[in-house]
Amino acid sequence: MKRVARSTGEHAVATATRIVVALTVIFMLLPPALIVLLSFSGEDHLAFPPRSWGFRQYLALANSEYWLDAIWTSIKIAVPVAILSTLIGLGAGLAIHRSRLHGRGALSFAGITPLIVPVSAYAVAIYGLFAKLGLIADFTGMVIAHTILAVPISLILFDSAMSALKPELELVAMTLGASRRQAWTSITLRLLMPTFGASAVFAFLTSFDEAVLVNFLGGGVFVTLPKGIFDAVRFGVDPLVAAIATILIAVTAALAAVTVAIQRRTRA
Amino acid sequence: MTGTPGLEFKGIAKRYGSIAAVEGFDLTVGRGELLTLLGPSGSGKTTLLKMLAGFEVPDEGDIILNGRSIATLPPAMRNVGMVFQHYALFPHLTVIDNVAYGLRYRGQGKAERRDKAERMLALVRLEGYGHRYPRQLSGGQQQRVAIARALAIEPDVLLMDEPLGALDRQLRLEMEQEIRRLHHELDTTFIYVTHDQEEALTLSDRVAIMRSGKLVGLGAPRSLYEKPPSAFVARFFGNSNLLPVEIIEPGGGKTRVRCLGMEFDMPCGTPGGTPVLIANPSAIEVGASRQNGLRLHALVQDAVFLGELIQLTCMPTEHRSLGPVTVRSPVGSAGVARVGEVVDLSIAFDRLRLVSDE
Repeated sequence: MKRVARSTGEHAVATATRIVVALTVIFMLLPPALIVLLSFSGEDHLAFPPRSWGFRQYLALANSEYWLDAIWTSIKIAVPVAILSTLIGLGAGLAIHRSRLHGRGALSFAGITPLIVPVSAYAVAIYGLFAKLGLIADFTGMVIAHTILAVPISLILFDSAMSALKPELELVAMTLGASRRQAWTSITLRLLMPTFGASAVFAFLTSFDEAVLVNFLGGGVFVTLPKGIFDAVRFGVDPLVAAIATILIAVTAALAAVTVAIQRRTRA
Repeated sequence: MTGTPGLEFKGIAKRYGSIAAVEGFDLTVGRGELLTLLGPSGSGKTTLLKMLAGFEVPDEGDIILNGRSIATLPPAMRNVGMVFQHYALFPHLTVIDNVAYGLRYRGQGKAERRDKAERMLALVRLEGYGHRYPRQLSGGQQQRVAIARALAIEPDVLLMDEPLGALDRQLRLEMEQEIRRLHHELDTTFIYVTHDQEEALTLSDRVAIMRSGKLVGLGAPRSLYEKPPSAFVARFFGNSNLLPVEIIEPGGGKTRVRCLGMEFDMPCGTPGGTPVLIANPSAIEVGASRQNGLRLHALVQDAVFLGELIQLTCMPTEHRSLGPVTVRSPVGSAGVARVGEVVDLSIAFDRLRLVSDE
């Protein structure tokens, strides 16, 4: 094999590129890595580096009713959000791709505006409305507010999945003897299964991770996991927070990885 | 081609808003015939296919398949097989399950379905591919699976919508042979839609040429190619020289015309509209100077080797407004000339065709 001699200029560019890539990776990964490291601290206050190591934080967490309640509250809100958001995403996707609805192009844009509008601005707007409707510090109110944040993700997933579905698939199924409904369930719905999964997971995570709306609309009644962390760091730094954050990171990464794996495996 | 009518279009019309996609379309296809619908895009051929498959309902007229009116039946009730250009295989099913898909709606047991699907795969020469997924096959193989899937339900008619359009040339030629072979082995009626005239000529028993939603030519490939019924058909096959002509004396069975300064009789009625003479490239002789024919001096500008034939592009030295004339002569005949040579071209009057340039 012949080696092409590189000019010093090219060499400098390659080195610079490597440095930038390395710095980016460090910048992105250092904070979570430190959190994970700190969660194994054996101390009762936050210090770096910890003088001793162990599972002290995790044991404390397992025995803390406050934190277990927070986790349970988060799950109770996130599950209905995942279901609602997925159903709305599916419906909106169908309206965009399968109907002759007037203004369906505008729908796909309107559906993702919650991604563009700052969450705090949303929170203020929703607060005014919910105060009138008596939905502040209310379970239904929390679910509705989180669903609004999650719907764009579900919509984007269904939108892209449906635009990749060829309409000919259903047509050919019908020529082969399937009724319209049989073609829809045996082909289209079946091909959308991974999208249902991805939508539910990402909507769940959107709610599970949400720390702004819960502060505005929770009325202090709802202590979800992010809200608990927020309060904990406000009143002093408890190393237990690092353990919770580590669990949050692990759950998020695992769910996202599973979703990606399923989608990759079932892709046509 | 057999004589029994298998499929009849009777006065079909389909409009989208104010645009007529198909209008006044009448056509009878024999049982077991391979008929090609040929036309440029937007000529209505795909709309016709959709109405045949049941994806669209005609605004007017009726479609009769084996004696049964199917124009308003849902696709599942028609027993019509369909092959799309981009295969439309079900990505989540294996090859064998794709082929067996239609059989589950025909009340067949699992073993029976598998068996039938295996036989269909053998028919398209894909034995042993049953357990694979469509994405693991090449384009040509995927199209074979699509054909096997459509044939598995034993359709009364197999519809193919530009099925080879997504394949490269070599594969296309192979698949043309394959489709002809399948058609010979089965007695199913095939309706084949294409915009590729070569494909239509190679494959079909008969070709139906469409233009702006209307049938403008119908016949066996050879007769359409050699005796195009109109200037549109001649242009569409892209092989004919169109010569401007002046009618001197119109008539029912004989028309006196003037072309290239010569006056002569054409043994046919006077066409309506603007008349034009069609000179088939292989009817033009090089070197000979025919008395009872049109004659032209021309400079050979280009010579292309086409295998059995040499195609010359010749620029007339007089009557230059004609533009270049295409001539095709067998390789090794006297009609082979070099680029830069000035040659005598002639064509017998009785090889010319007088048609309307609508």
